[in-house]
Amino acid sequence: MSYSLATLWYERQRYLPGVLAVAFSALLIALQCGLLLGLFSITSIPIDNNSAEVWMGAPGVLSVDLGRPIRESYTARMAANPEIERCESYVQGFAYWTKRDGATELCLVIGSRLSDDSLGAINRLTPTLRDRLSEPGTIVIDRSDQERMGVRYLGDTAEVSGLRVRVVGFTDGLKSLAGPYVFCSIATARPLLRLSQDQVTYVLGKCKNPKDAAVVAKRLKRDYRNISAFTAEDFSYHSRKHWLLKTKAGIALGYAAALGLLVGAVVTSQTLYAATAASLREFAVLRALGIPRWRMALLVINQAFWVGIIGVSLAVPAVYGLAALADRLTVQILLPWWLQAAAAGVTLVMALGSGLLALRSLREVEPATLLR
Amino acid sequence: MRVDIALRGERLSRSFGQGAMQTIALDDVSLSIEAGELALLMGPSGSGKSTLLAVLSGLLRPDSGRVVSLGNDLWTLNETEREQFRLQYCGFIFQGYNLFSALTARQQIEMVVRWGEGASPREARRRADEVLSLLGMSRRAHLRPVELSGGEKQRVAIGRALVKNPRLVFADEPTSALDWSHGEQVIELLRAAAHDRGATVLIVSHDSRTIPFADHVYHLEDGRLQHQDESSVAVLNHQGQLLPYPTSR
Ligand SMILES: Nc1ncnc2c1ncn2[C@@H]1O[C@H](COP(=O)(O)OP(=O)(O)OP(=O)(O)O)[C@@H](O)[C@H]1O
Ligand SMILES: [Mg+2]
Repeated sequence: MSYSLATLWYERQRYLPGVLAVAFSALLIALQCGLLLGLFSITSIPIDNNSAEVWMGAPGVLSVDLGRPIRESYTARMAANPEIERCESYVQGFAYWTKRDGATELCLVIGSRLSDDSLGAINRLTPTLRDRLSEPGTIVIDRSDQERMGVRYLGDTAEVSGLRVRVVGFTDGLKSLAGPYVFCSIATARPLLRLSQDQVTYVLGKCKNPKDAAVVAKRLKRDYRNISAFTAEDFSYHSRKHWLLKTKAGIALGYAAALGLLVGAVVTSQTLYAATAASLREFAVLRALGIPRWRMALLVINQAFWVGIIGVSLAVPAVYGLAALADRLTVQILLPWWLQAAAAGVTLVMALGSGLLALRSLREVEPATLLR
Repeated sequence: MRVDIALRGERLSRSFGQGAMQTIALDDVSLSIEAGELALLMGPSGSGKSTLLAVLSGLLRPDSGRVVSLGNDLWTLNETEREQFRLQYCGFIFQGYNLFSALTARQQIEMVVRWGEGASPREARRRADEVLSLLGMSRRAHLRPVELSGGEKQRVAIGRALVKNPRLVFADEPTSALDWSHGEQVIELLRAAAHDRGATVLIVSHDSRTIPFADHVYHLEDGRLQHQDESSVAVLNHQGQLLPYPTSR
């Protein structure tokens, strides 16, 4: 076993604050980023929960909920691609929801085809619900939004854009961010969004081979300037990224993470500094024996590295535990591998940096002081 | 027979502080220590023994004077060269044991070989075990400082100084923390190192019981070396040689 590990283990009491500081930093970074990813994954729920593989919309669309109307006849552009099996219309947009008591609320109206093979219908819409939605003026909302929207019971009515709608069913577990979802047929949606009969928000496509989606999207983008096209995956990513950047949540997160890192670095470097300072006389003996200073520096850096590794290892179960807890509270924390790797990497670098800071204690190593 | 001088100090002076606060720790000290001998540096507290040891061993720069160590003019070398010189030739035993509390007796010694000479872990272990067995510490090799007695700790510290087979060994009060029977063992070990390996050993001590082990005794007082012919009584060392032993005034 290396000298640094042996020391770390034998004097674990002394190193504990540093290890905990590293663990805390890693935890903070992973959870904050995970929370944010979880939050913004909500923006792409309409994309991630249906069967569309290619999305075509107005030029310069930044996020799925910010779609603008395009002509329905553009459907032919997508249909012309040999890879496309079929395509269909999709309308979506924000509208004012008026409760019975007159209070208003912004909602996101999503109108899709309702057949069994629909590309646009969200997959939580059961055949029964889709069947009920075929009646004009009917809508489905998520149960979690029921209170917010003032819907008391099945069959209750409200107004969207001044038009009367009736709630014919509920979905479960579809979280919304900017405004609650209002699911309905394309025919119901158009008047709510004040779209004319030849307007849609997106054209959705399905390929014979799902792998061709990227080719189709690329070709559409190349051939037409007045539309934009994405694969579902791409569009999902763009939508999240747009909201992440637009809301500046990323900056707030950056601050919080930097603060966590700073606290971690201070505690860790102090721990390493104190531990090194406690062995100054021993180091001085080694210096007298002619052992170069860099050997001792390496020892300190090595300790910093292990403090980092142990801290990060402690953080992993804690992160998973807290993420599971958050899940129970219906807060989603997403922890993709790259996020975990990045959090671990950043904290490790922080620990090594702390080691470098602690090196200043070695400057006080002076073998002559041993001779008094 | 030509005498081989391993370590020579010429007109060494060193003071600390300035003005009225100035202490003259070494005042024009010259001495020569023969290769392979065990020299003892004695004197009352504050007389400059440790300072002289530090200057002679290349740890503390003298204000004036010259140190010629194994043919090298020590204080004209640069920092790195002096460090390299110490690495190659010098072993140190300081007051107190100065052992890493987290490491075993074996590791404390191994470390010096691995870091000093870049020896492989295996080679370092072999060498450490060799020294430990020489010191009668084989069965305690796996113990940490808290589990060792004072005498055992001092033996580990000696092992650390001897493992690289240094040609010069400097020891500052190596027996001060030990009772005499252990102290005697320590001096014996150092004497064996000097006589068996041809190392030159310089020991600072103010315990007169160490005198019989020495080949040569230097007496320091107020930073000055006492001349051996004045006011001295003779002490017989183990080889049956008469050594001058200056009495304190
Ligand atoms: N770093 C220092 N700064 C100031 N004065 C010092 C320093 N080192 C030594 N001195 C002074 O120099 C003188 C000689 O000190 P030195 O340590 O050499 O004595 P010593 O003979 O080893 O004493 P002891 O037997 O008590 O160890 C003392 O008066 C001491 O106070
Ligand atoms: Mg002293």
